[in-house]
Amino acid sequence: MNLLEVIELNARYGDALDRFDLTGWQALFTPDAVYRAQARENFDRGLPLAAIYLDGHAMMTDRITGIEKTLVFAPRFTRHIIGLPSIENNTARTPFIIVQTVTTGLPEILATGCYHDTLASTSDGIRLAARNAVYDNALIPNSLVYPL
Amino acid sequence: MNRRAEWSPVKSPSPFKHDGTHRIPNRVYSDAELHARELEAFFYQAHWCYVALECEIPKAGDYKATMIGEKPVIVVRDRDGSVNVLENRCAHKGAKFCQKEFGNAKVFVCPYHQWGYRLNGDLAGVPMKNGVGGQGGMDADFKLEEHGLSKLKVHVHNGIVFASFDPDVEPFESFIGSELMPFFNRTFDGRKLTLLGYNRQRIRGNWKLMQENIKDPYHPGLLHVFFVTFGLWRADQKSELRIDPRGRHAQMISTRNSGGENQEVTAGVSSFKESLKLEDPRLMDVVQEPWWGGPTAVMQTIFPSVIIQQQVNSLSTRQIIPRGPDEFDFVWTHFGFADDTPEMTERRLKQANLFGPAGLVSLDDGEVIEYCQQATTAYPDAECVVELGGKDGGVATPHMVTETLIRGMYRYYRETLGL
Repeated sequence: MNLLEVIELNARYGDALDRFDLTGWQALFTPDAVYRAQARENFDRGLPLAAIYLDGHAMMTDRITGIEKTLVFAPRFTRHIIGLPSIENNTARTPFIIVQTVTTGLPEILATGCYHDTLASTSDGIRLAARNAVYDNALIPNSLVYPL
Repeated sequence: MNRRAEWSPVKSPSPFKHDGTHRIPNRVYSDAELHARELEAFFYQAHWCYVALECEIPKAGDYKATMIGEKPVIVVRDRDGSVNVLENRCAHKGAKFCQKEFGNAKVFVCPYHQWGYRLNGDLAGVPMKNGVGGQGGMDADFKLEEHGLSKLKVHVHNGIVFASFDPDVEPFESFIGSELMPFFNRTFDGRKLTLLGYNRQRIRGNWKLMQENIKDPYHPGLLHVFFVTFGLWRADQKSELRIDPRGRHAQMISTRNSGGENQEVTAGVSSFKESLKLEDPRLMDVVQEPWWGGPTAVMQTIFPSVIIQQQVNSLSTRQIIPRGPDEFDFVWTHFGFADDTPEMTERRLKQANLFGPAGLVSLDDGEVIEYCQQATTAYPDAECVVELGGKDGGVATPHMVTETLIRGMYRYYRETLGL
């Protein structure tokens, strides 16, 4: 995989989430992609539980509906700061920091960790065939509303 | 162990302005002195607190560091297979010597001066005890057996582990009580459990608000739009509330989709969105399990330290770890059973999307608990009105249109703290 293409994919990923464009976020995955947001303590110990586990576009749509139409949460902004990918064949590891600002409060770090990705080349460019957002901080400051 | 006199003998007057518990003074959520008294009376005395599932520490030497109230403890599997719970506090200089959450050890060694402890807490050795080159060392009357780690009382009940700092705590069975034991044993009936993993949240609210949340069947059909919309919860579904005679523990027992078409339930509910449908039904692919024996959800509040969840195929313990009056950590341990098929494990993992910090029906709870903390702290002299279902002090009911379980908890709270 081409370094610049992966960087561009990640830039679009963070930009979509930070603009609350969840459909745009979903479009960066292949239709049968698996997305997870998983605490590092589970990942490192081989425990399968993830805080968010979405298997394919339809389940991502349900999560988006859940966020946009059913969940109650204080308004917030997020900012994805995504580092440079380390690429090996069709896989990549990329560090991230996500800062969250809830209503009029101070910014706080929501999560810091590493994306573990499987990438696929498609006619639309490269897409995520699997992304596990493994976050180092076992504790989440209350809520994980949007995908990491 | 000095466990009877840790809070200040100076006590403020009761914040409760009325008899009964249908009004809760806002002060109970933010007052530091009350908080210290709660820790002592509920977490450190006379109660069994949740510490682990046995499947977290399957082998000899496996340990888990956790908390009871605000005190760090270690849960460890001894060589004979028994489970010990020890204070995570070196008897020498008071260091929290075990810094790893999980691990395996033959002995515990405090890194500061290498005092070494056996898995049962006994002090095995102290460097330079007999001096060096005839100089220094401990006095001749220093006895290793007088300086072990403090050991807690432990009860292992069909795979779930509780501990108490109080050597005089009542037997576990009477602590849970005969009213609640049948449904407690329904999940923990001796089958081997498997560990699926953890979710942890830090919620900026008083720890009691979490107990209240799971003693409150008023809110799920109103706050949790996802629940209502996708048929997981209706106020008219077949249900039952159980409570122990003292009011501290409770169970909300319900059976999904058995309510019929009652317009009253959804008519005035602004959060009900009838048109929503799951795009991927696997998110809620509920399969009846034989051990349920009917009810599809049993939510248990075991006071003060844990909530035990069976919500369709999703099982977890939710440990409450207070951090002062305005904050607590909420630790979810998801589990299944050793005889689960791979499909059942997958189902439990997918349904876990509903729970934890990102849970489609639990994220809202953490949020509203913070909302409650924000305004009750700001208005400490105001009070909450808890009168749905009347003003009783906590009774078993055959329906969910009541806040009786919360009134029961505060009856116990007032009695125990003498407020």
